[in-house]
Amino acid sequence: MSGDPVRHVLGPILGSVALFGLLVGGALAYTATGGAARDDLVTQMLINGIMVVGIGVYVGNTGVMSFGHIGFGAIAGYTFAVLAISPERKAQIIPDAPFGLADVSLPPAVAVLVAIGVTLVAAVVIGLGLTRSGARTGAISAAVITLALLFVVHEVARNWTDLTGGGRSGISFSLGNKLEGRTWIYVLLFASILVARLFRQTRIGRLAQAAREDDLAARAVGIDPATQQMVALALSVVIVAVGSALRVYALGVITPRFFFFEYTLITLAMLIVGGRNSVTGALLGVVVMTIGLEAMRYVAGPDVNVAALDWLLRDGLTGIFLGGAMLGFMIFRSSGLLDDWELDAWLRRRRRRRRSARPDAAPPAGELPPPQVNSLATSDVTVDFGGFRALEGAHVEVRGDEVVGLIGPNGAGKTTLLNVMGGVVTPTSGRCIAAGRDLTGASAHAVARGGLVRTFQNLRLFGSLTVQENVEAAALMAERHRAERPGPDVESLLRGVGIWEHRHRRARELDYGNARRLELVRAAAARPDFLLLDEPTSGMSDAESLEMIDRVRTTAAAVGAGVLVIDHDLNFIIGICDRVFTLDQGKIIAVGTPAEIQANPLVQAAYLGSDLRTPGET
Amino acid sequence: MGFDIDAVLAADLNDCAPAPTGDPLKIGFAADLSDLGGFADAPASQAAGYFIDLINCTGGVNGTPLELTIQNIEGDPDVTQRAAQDLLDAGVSAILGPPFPDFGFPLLQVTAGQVPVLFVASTEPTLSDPAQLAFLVAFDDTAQASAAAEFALDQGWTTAATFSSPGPYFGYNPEIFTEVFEAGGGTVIADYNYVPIEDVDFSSQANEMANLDAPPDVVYSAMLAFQAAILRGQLDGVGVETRFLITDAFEATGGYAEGEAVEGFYHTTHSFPAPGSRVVILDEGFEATTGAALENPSFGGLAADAIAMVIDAFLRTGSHDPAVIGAAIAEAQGVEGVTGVLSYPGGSGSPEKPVYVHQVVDGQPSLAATIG
Amino acid sequence: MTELLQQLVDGIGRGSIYALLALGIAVIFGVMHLVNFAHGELITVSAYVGYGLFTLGLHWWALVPAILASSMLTALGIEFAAFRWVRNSSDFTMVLTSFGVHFVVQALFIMGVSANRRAFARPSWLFETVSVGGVNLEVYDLVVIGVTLLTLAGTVWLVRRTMFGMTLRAAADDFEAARLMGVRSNRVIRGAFVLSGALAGVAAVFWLMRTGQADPTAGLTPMLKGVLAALIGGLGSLGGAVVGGLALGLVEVLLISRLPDGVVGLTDGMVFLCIALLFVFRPQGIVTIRRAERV
Repeated sequence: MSGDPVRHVLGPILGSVALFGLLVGGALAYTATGGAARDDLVTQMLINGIMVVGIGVYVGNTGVMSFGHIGFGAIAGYTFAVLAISPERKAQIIPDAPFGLADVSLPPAVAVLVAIGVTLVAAVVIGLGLTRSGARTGAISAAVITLALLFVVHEVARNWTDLTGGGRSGISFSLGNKLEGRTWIYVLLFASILVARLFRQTRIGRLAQAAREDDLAARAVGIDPATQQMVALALSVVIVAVGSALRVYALGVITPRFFFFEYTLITLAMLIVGGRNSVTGALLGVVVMTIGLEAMRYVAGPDVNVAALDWLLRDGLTGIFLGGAMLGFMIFRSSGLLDDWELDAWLRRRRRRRRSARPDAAPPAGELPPPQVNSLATSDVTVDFGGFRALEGAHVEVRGDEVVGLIGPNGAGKTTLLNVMGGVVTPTSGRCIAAGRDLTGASAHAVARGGLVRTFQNLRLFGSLTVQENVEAAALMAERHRAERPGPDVESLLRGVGIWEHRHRRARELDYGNARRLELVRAAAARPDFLLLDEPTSGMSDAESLEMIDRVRTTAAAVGAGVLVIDHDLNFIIGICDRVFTLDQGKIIAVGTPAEIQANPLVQAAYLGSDLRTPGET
Repeated sequence: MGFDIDAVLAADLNDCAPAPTGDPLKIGFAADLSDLGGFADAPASQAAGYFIDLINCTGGVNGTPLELTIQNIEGDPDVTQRAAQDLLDAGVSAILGPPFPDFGFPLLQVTAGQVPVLFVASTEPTLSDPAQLAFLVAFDDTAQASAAAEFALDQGWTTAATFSSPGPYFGYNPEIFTEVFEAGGGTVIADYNYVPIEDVDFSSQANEMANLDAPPDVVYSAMLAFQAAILRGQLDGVGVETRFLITDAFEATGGYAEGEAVEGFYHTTHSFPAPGSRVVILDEGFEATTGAALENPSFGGLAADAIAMVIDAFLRTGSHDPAVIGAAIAEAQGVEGVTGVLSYPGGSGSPEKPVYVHQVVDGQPSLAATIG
Repeated sequence: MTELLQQLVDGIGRGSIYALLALGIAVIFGVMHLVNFAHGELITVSAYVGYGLFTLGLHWWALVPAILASSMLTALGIEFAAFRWVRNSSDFTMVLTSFGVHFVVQALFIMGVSANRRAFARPSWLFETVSVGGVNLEVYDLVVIGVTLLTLAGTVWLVRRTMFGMTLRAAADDFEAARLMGVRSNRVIRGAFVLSGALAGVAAVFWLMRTGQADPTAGLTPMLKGVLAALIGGLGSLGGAVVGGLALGLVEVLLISRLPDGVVGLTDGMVFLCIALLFVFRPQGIVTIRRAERV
């Protein structure tokens, strides 16, 4: 699947060229028809474009809230300015610069490189902190840590006057010694767009997007988002550093205020208005906000005079627009104008739609992996939540070639046991051993890489990714971390459960039954030794859940995995299982074939009054 | 015929001479109206508009009408540069600039020494650079802090404490004050740090001052008026009796609205509103015309000064060309303005002007000294 | 010893206002998982209400009920105009919504009044000080501490003894479950906003007594302090918010008197840094934020 050059390389490149062409073409048409102030506007817009695309590389791919990118920008901006400003000028404004910096004079290009380096060091530190704090979509810890960065950088810049020139005057280039012309901006903007677009299609980018959609589900198929987040942060910070240096060079001056709260919120507003999950969206947001703010400035400016509206057409109008745009989009369209739309992806989808969709062929009999002789066993697992004992000495064993059920009344501890196996809950005592490896207390993604992959009772798909991308995310992980073990390809998995024809739809658009099937094959794509299925038929009709018996068995056989399944639907359990464990009040009370379990008086007592019936019995 | 500023100020807008018809002399004002700088630029831009109306009412400058374009820089460096470029595109011969250097420098990057920029209310020494046609209209902080120190020494005060924060203005003024005060034999016994604009509680510093052997004769600072008022109250509370000497920030940020809390304060400023003085005539005329007084007459006067400088240069050169006007401004000598007489001493872009020291008496400014 | 005692009193005085602000932020976070960066707008609005009425010649005591009422109404109005519509959105969406509110309110005052600060007088007793055993007690601090205690007692009563308080706590504990159990989410959230508005109103009264200033960014500093204090306290925890506020006040006073010259301006940054480190190294310690998602 990484061997799809059209989708992953050519498309993004052509898309970037088209996007860049449109943006620059429009900008040139605009500057050709007006005064020099339009040149300034376009220069600023293109630089903001670089900044916003840079921020989008992190926020868009990982979903992590960052208020700190402009803080990184400040670090880059000051580093650049201090190194690139001529010593004569520095002698006037920061004669006491520490570390002998007063005498340093680097060509701008070299200064930018050093600025990138310095900023990257800061990014690594912050990135490690973010990882440690468990950064993921919507994590408030990430917002706080990045906001802290913004504030600390700002206050240091304000107070370290020897280096930064302090609060209001800052440091400035000698007049006339600032960036002229836009060649560099064009080159760097194009490079930023291209890098951002290509990154989204790389293995790391796609895994990051999966984790953005659902952190827990991503971990459950073996994705550890820390690496992806770190790479995304580093890349985005490089782009932001470049943009910041350009901004400082174009303004000719940097003060702490230029890279603080207001600029943070303006750039974030641009990102969210256009759509943070798309590079095209980020740039569209820049254009829309630039046009809007400039229009407000014009309307409130000296050229428009409507006496009756004087109270309205005054200072503050741009603030109303900025705040109003943020509010409006957050309320009515929080995914922004474009959400994750990209030109080339859209064209590809259209082309495909025109080709008639072939019906699913029968699942091809992929070469079967060698039968597994491993086993999965938990021994004496006890879990206490505060004073409540959820599990007590639970022991379950699954062989690599069988389907085992786990039943029990509500609150018996079934899901807790699954959580212990899946690395979500650390048991108070007891062990969990799979294929000879002790996975007790291992983290969720390590468990998955060890061959135990689970699904979730409440369905956790990567909602905005397509059906195919959902499965590919797991497959990408497996290619790297389960390489020793063969597995079926994505197409045969999808065909196997009959959702190949839906492969280009977003996962969140699927109906319930198909969503369940997708979750099953996504887990299977991680090439597990054991599949742990948490209520795979919940919410399904009787007919669908009977059909699910087949799906689970074929899929498990296709990857050569043993299955442990929890379900309330006893028809399903009896139909699919070779053996069944029964839990009650945290203890295993019975083990046996489905028929034996149904006959077991202890089980009947546990289910007292509920419908433990043989299929077909009335 | 020259330019008679008193005749202009005396003009009656309801009874104007025939409108001048010459090629207008265009002046731009890049004003900070939506941000902190508004304290200066709001009254300055209003006064500038009124002053130009008066000039045109008296037949313009030798038949040349004046045209003022105000662009709001919105407290944003990007907007500042666009606003400046808009003014250049409109063909202005000079630009009046905002008070703070963080927007002054981006502005200068755009004008790039081609068009003169007169910073109406700024006292930031680094903004003045005649080689780049950048000028201050007010005295700079070096002059203001030195004058404050001289004043303090003249009063026979020998000990002082300063409140400062690193950086320009809030840090630079106390630094210069300390230098001059100590050179003149005084002693600065303590310097306390605080956060300008934000801090609202000085009880820690007040208690530290209460523990001094003897309170300083005077506290010098570039604080905002409300911060100075709070500091004074808290010092009173812990029984520290001292005097307060504040920079021009005091009047700029509404010191006279603080009432009782600042009674007896001294502060440096740009003009003294003596009855019949030009500042008062301008202010009263403005009020009579628009129905509202200027928020700050000093800054109104400084805006008129800046325009007078441009007119003086125009009269001497007869040129609309910004570069020619800029070069002429650099050599201005004895220009009659509203706050006083302005000259740029050889090679400097900061005018030689008196620094007025006011004391708040019964809630009104009373002239304590005129330095320089 | 006297010095330390002095700083303790100063710190608690400062911290009381922070605690009230933080409590308002925590209440909102509890019911809708929103870190309300628009909380400072309540102070801004209060400041202009105070300034407006003061220029009409009203006495400070008449301003108090007006400020309380306007703060509560504003909180309700912001909920109605903005937060209601993003209730079930992601945290990202809600935080940006609150910044949007901040910009709009700020711009409205720039438009409607002026970007410039407006001053009004402080109450006459503000700076009176009584000396007890060498410790200077500002009457203001004593009043702040006293009223804060009363306000907190009222809040505790409200939260512990009334139906509204019980639903509030239930919602803060587990919003989804509370809703399933029939808690009327609309009513709880509106109530929470009114409560947070009232708390901000009390804080605003004290804040404005001291500053005597109205300007479009008047709420920025108090908002920042409130958010910092709420973060120290764990965001959703009401008790934590109070502790966080007091801790922040004390830390500030201690830092100001002990930091070397030139780094006093770094106080906020240092507090922020410590909070960030807390989030990095003890995320599990901040209970309400990390309440494990149900699997």
